[in-house]
Amino acid sequence: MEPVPIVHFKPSCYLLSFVTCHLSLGCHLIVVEGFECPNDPGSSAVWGFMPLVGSPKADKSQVRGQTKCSPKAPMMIKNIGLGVPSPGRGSPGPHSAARHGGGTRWRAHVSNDSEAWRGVVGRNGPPDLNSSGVLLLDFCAHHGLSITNTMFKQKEVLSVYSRAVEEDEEELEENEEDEQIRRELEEKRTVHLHWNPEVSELLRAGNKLQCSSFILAVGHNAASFLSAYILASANWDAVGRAVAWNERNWSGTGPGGEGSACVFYRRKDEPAVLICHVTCHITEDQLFQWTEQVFGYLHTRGLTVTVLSDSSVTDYKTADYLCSSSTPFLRSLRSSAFSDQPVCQSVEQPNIITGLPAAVLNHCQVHSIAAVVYQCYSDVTGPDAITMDKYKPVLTKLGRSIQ
Amino acid sequence: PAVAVGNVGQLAVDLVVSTLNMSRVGYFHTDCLIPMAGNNPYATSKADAEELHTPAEVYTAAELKLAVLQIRAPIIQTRSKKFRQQLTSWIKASGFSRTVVLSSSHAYQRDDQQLQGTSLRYLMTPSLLAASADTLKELGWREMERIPAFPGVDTDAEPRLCIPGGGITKGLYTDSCAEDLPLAVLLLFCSEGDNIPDAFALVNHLNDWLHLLDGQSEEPNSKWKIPTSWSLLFGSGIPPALF
Repeated sequence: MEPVPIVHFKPSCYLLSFVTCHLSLGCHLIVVEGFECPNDPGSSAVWGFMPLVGSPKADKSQVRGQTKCSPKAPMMIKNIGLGVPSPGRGSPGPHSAARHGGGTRWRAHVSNDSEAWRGVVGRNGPPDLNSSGVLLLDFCAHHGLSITNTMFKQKEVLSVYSRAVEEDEEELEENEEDEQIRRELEEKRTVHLHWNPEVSELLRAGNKLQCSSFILAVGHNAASFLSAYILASANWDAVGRAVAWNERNWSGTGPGGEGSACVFYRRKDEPAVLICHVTCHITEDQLFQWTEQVFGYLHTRGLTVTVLSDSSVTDYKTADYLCSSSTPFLRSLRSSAFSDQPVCQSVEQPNIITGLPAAVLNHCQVHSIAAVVYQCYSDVTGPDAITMDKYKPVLTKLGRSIQ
Repeated sequence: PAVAVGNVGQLAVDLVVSTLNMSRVGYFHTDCLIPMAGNNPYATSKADAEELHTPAEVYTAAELKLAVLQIRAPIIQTRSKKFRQQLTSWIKASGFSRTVVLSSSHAYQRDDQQLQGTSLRYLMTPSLLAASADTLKELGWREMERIPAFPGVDTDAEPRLCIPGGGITKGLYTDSCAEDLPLAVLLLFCSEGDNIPDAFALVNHLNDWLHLLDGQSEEPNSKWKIPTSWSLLFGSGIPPALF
């Protein structure tokens, strides 16, 4: 039995997030995990046991993992980073992994046998298998390792921010492959609008859609309310969809994907009234784009925008504790151009609105479009009839345009 | 302000806008900030309470020849460089005679020399430094130190500017040096928590230089007006059934 060499990753003050990954190699259990660095309790160290994989220069491709953390990052078990740090670009020594700002690249050289893995099935099978994933599988295939348990942390835009702010990353020198991956990911996350042929024809000539009333429902209760009370009358045509792929609603890409679409409806006899259902998640970096694109197709003179939006009562701050009998409740927020009286009281200080309703309001405020958001704060997160009922007063305001 | 640790710069700007009764003159409408919307954070009465405010807006006080940009939302991670570029172009296009960035930095990442004395620091681009050298001497301000990148590990490394937790502060400063903009950075070392005292410290420090409150009462801390949006900074009221 070949002894498994031990590789020590030198702890340092600016350390890396680390992995928990169990690989079984015949009778050897190889564990790579992280824990607190003994010299500096504020940081963490990775001590890994990895088989060396041959001469670094002889083999063709590389396994590369990039990880990131801050000195006080909590134990991030959900990460994968495999490899033996070798004197790659930017690292100060053979087995140290220290880099200001908390990121590093680990490189190991393995042979390339990705053809064997074309048959990978499951959610991460091709074409979603990225090059890092292929290389990981190559590595395991080459050494007869079976992966029993892995968790890959996907790059995602987190929707919850802590007040603590990290300094700007040093401008990383990206190689071409990195840049290409990043560009492809950015393109994938672009918001696309698809209209039915009749509307496309109209828009192709450079025209915009005449619109006097645009009603937007964000969230399941808001969308269900509109479906039940307005769209049920069968006077409405589905005229288009907006697709916004992101890591939280990636099931289904392209126009056919149900999970990532926002559907537009127009009244048959009154085409100036447009409704949009948004039940998928749109990430922070897509919100502005979504709004600009949608409003780019609309004539905004004389337009009134109404947004119905679901929210959780836990997001609402009041001096007096809100008991359960007062929820759900409705609050409004309007742009300066909205001259009518909203059906409920305004959002009290210091509360704010975020997400798609906020992006729409911002756009309308800056472009002097009349807009009002009705946000329903509920203690129930799923579909709920009582929550939906709270939107009823809005119907009186929408009036004739929806009948 | 820079969106930085403790949001001290933003809180300080809130105090300036609120005290000087500045009026909003424009929106900084960009895709680089996370969208948010709310009612008027500086409302003084019911009449002006329901005015919509966006993540980045410009306020002015004409008599003081002062313009203030307030940023209320975090910068989207992948767009911080773009945001810096938008800021510097706007500064150049507007032709401000000088720009001041209010910021903060992680207190726990100070090195030995930074631990001593005041926690306030300044930085100035060369063009502004030339014009303000005398004032700085009079004020006795302390310049932000350059520290080695890996303190204690790599003693030969050249000291360089590090503003951990400062968000875009360092980037904005280096960009302004490169483009020869007259820009100053005022920051203090702080930690997350109740940063209201830090905001007061920073804004008083700024006032020592710019004298924004000339003609008001002398007592510190009472001259700045706290905006209504600062209520419930640490969450809602407590349920009485808890006790």
